[in-house]
Amino acid sequence: MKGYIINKKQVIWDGIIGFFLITILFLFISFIFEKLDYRFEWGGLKEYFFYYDNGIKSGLILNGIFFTLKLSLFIIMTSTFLAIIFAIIRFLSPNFLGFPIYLITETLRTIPPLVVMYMFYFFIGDRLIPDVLLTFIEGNNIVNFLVEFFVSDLSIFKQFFAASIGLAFYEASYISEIIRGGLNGISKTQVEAGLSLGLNRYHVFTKIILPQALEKSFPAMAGQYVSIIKNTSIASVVAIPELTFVSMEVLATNRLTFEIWLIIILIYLIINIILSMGIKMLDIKIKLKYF
Amino acid sequence: MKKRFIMLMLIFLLPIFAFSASEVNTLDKILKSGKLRVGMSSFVPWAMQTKKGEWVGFEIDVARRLAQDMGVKVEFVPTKWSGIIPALLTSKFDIIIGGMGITPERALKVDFSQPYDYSGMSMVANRSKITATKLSDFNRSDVVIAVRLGSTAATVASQVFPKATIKMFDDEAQAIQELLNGRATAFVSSAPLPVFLAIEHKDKLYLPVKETFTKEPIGFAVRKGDQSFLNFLNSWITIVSSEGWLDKRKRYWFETKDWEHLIK
Repeated sequence: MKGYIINKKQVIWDGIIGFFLITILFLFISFIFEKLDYRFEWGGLKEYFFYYDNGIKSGLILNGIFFTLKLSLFIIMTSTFLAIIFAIIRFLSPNFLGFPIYLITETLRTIPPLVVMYMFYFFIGDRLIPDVLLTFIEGNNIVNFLVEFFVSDLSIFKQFFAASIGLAFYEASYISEIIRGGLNGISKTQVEAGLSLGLNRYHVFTKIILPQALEKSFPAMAGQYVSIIKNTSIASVVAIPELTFVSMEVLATNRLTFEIWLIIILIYLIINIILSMGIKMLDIKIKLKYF
Repeated sequence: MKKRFIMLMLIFLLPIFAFSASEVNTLDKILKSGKLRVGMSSFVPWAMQTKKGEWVGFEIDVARRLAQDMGVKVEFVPTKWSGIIPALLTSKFDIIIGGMGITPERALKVDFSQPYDYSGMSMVANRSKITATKLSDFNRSDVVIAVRLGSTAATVASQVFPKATIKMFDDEAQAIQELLNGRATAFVSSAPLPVFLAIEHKDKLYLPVKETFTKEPIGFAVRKGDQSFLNFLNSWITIVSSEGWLDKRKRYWFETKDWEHLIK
């Protein structure tokens, strides 16, 4: 027990060290630029985060950050859901129903994420969302508001869907392998014990095997979540207004190349350091439960 | 094994259900949905985003006026320039209004309206790398020319400077940074961007030739085989250019810098 309490402090230390490293990184970068003879202009950039127009409004880059977070959350939820289903199907029926799943995951795992993104955007995206659905959403005020709030502006609904479903499938193909590993890691004796206690096969699976497998595969899954947030930047190639795309647009207009890139680096670092800290905390909780 | 074989057969049957494209009249579709979806890409001063996220620029004015005259709302779909034609072909938007030069290769894939504007290639060079006063000075093997991927500048540069190395970038900003860092000798792009750059970085960059060295027509691009939409666009261009409206907007965006406070 005692060992893990110290670990909690360690998580906070990890965070502090992370931010310390960022500072060093920036000092290092500024040292390089000293030699590059590049004029930094940070002054005008704050309005890309906040500006005044009858009260404080969020600027372009801040909206991009929100969108990245929304996209990440969407992909994390969808891909976890898909991955659990994939893993269960492959675990229970490896030869029949599991076979197409095996083909899908194997294919996605051998294609670069950028290509997956283009594939879904150009070939599959339009088939997923029929125009009828869009007109329905537009016609209904409540649905329209909900969609624009939780998902995206209607004008980029198709792109958003294509990109997020594409990335969700891509990530799910990795996560499902992790969960399958977890399922295979539960020993047969537990199944036998459950059956001999009088539980049926369904209950043995849902009450004994699945919860343990999910908890055991959590740390590896969480690592994948960090990579999901990073991979959302790939969605910029299909013109989704997430952080990278918005920043590139800003860059094309004001040409403050290094300022904008440094800001992008900093924002991704901050988001992912906070996420990894949270994951470690949860990880400790799970370990406490088992040992 | 037998189970797996059955599944494999089922998978091979899948493509039968896929792909059933249908031809629709774009003009009707736009009027019916009340929305003109315009594909474009950030490019000073054609299309730029202000800090508040509003679109401004010459092409934006043109698109807004077009939508207003059609009586529909305009919707901008910013897209990467290198992928803008495939995105049009797969109906991500209805029309490209983004200063797209009419070239034979592009005209094979999309239909162009009559030109509503002319643009030319211009060049800006790095002072520390080369001192030249004519174009032929750049046709050397040690010259590196930065251009934007998929733009007409890329084609023109390799035609005019066959001996030089052409470096292509996905975004204008990266190409410019390459020039400023001295890893590229010169940067070729549609006027007036090179002129603006030479003014902005007086100490580093200069204009080897004052005039533009090509003249290229700019048109709207739409999907192939949509003659009625194309006819409408051509009539519209004739009307607004005889009004003098196009020239007026062009002068505002290309010859003044009154709009600069919007983006800096």
